[in-house]
Amino acid sequence: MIAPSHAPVVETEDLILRGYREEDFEAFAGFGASERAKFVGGPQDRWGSWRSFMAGIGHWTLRGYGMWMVEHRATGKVAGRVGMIFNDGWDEPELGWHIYDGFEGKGYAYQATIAARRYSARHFGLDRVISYIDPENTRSVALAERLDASFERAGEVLGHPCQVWRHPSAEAQ
Amino acid sequence: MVVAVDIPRFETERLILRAPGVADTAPMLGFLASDRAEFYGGPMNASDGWHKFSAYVGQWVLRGYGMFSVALRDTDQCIGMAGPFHPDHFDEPEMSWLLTSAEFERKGYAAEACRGVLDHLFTTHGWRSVISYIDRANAPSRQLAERLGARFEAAVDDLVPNCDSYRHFAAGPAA
Repeated sequence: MIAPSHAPVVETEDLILRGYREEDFEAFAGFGASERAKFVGGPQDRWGSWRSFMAGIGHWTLRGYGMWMVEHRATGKVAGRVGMIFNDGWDEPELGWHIYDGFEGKGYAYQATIAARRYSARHFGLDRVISYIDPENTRSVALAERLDASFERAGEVLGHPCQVWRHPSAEAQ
Repeated sequence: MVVAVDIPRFETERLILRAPGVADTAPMLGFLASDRAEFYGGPMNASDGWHKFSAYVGQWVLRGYGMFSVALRDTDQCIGMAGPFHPDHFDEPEMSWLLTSAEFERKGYAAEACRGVLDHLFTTHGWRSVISYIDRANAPSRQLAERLGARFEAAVDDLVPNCDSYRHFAAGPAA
């Protein structure tokens, strides 16, 4: 069987959304071990990060969509991850974004998320998706607002209180 | 560009070895939540179970080999997994296996699945040998390794606590 297993390449002005490579793991594990991961289930040790890295790939195989690696075009460095998450226990597929150290405050999260949202609406049939956001994650709340998402309800993920934000239709964008 | 991975599918007398799929999530999360998962990092909740199961799947893409779902030929029901597990901190792939529920034990399914997978690794991938790390408290797995003809190699506590390594060899003269 040929599994639809890996992320398609999606390009933006500054970024390349693409599949996972083993050499991405150091940046991935660095983010996972940092305080920056506290809103996305971390921090976690290297072993936990390896499992998450593999799971990020496996998500594409199991669901046919997932989170992309975000490569910074100018430097070739990994700037974060963005895309659709539908783990066991999620109410519905979620648009998520993780920006790695050194790539914040440059508009990259916005750029990557817009591209991922549009691609997912057009190619995966995932439109008007949600994002789960920890209310204390003020930067993500600000980004959700900038993306024209709107607060829908207080919800929870895996017993952890989270806000559910709903994105507008991206199909026509 | 979509990079696809070709996950082989083959059959043994009573079993199908195939790509893990979403339909296998429930039995695998059930296994990982149970005491049977004590040698697989469990028991663990559904969230951790999902990550572990999907990580097994993801390894196929990164490595080109991985754990097959073991399914009954008659129903395609997933009763376990078997294949080479190869995380970052292992120098070489490790032949691993599990049955999701006690009801599938004592029927020779694990041996049949492992023989099929080992034969596949030795013939298709051309591997000459493959290692298994087995917890000293996991007597059924140790006995199965011995039944499969694997040889005790060494204590490997530094790599995997409380484990010994066993090595399976391709047929013919050992290297």
